Amino acid sequence: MMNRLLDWFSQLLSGPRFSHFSGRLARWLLALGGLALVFGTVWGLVYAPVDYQQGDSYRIIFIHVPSAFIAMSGYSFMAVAAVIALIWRTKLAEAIVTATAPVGAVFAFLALVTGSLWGKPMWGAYWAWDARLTSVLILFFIYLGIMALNSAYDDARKGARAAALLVVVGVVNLPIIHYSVEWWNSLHQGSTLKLTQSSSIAPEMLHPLLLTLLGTNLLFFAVVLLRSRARFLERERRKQWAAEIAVVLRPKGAFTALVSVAMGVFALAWIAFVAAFPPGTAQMLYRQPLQVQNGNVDPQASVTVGGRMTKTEQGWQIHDEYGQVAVNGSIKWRPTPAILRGHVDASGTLHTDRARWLSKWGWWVTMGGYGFFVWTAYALFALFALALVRYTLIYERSVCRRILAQKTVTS
Amino acid sequence: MPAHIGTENGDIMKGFTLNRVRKRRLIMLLIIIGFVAIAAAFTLTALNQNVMYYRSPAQVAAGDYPKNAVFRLGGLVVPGSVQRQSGSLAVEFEVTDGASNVTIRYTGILPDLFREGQGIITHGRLASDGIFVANEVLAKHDENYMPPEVKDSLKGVLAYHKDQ
Repeated sequence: MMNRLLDWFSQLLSGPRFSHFSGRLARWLLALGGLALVFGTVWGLVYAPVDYQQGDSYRIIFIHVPSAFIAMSGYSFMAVAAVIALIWRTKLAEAIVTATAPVGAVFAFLALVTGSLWGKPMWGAYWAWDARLTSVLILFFIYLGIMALNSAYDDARKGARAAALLVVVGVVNLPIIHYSVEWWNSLHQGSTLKLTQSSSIAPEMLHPLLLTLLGTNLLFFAVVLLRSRARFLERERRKQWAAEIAVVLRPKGAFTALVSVAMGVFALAWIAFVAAFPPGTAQMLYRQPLQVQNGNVDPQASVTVGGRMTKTEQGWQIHDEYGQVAVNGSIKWRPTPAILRGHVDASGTLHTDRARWLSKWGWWVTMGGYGFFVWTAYALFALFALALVRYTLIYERSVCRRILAQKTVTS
Repeated sequence: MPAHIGTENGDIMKGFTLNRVRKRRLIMLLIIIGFVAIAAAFTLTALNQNVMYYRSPAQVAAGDYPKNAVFRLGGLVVPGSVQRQSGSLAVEFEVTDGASNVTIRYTGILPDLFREGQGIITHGRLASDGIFVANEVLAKHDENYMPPEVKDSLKGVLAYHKDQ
């Protein structure tokens, strides 16, 4: 029974079969992963409630945690392939190792960048030499080292095996990353998602997070399958079956063009956002009423405060979920969200002479003042995820073209 | 798919069997991992003090801090200890780890998460009067995520936990 299972498995991993099933599987994973990511991010950005401490800035969690998860789980996956490549010396395992490294590197990079864009508004710094942050940075460098080592050899198989050895050595870093927040005093908080205990996150925030986590995983495996297959086909280009698959594939550029258009849309949307809401002091779009209440704004300088306007018995006030501030000024007040500019007096009243009125969506897009951080993180995530798909498709196409162009094929 | 696909023998692994050569490679691999793990463990134990991102007020009280040099000090902001000078951004507050307190002086905008009872990390030096003069204040946050309404209804429970 066990032997038959292993036989079936090894058959599945034989070149021609792998190439057939991985292509079909990758298409499904890509479609489902894309759907899960779209629904998960819209759910997380529009419908999930704000956090009791972090306000809207916490919404970066919906891409930060999946990126960090893939950076580590992708490494474990690559390490299993590396062990197989080193012991059994199969070409497919070698192709998987070399194909996974750049994908994992992208997600490690995204985990670092989205975390840094989250750290600035919450911690007060983009970067700290904290045990968790530093160990993830080392993971990113290990990924780059694996890629460099692989391409340092003229013989592809030798390069892949050298890279596989580095992959195995780098596994030591994984438990260090995971336990860094427990072993040492660190700025980074402990794990929110736990396997054995209940997670310390409200269900209405957990569900979109699980959806984006699923979507990112599917996307990762789709890209890894396609890249591994392309790499494998490239190695075996002189084989009859590789030529046959290249004929069947004959990839068209329509989907790649669609991905390019989507990348352009995300880039333009980000530029339009920054143009509409230029970031102010420390990249904040505006300060919150709570900060004015706490006296955490410079009394000497003018201050920008954002919130919803309400008329009370004492007059107009600007407020959000956390605090409120009385406002005063020669302005025709409106009961809509607004960004006000003015001075705070000793009694804590905001004297303003300039108001920018916002619609419901205009208010939402500012993300409680953290819009620059949230949208930059999301734009980078979208661009890098789409770029992974795009360059994988382009690579596949170039491999197929090369196979179809060659004269000699051995069976 | 063409009939012969999957029957070609060239690259098919004949199952994941371990013969003598493969067993030797596996053992070599395990030895390498073992040595790397031991090396990493030694390095991290030796660097333990440097990997610690900040010192606690109790360590400062015990004199365990770099004299006449900048270092990081972390703790919880003591509720009711935050004093602001009106008309400026100068602020003074105490941090505690439960065992000792240290007074911190800082001038500047504090991070949004700074509040009483919040964990913070400061960077600066201890002045001769025992006050820690900070040039940077970072706010730590916990791993809990919930909507404000849930937090309000939980306040009683959290207050209970704080007393423990």
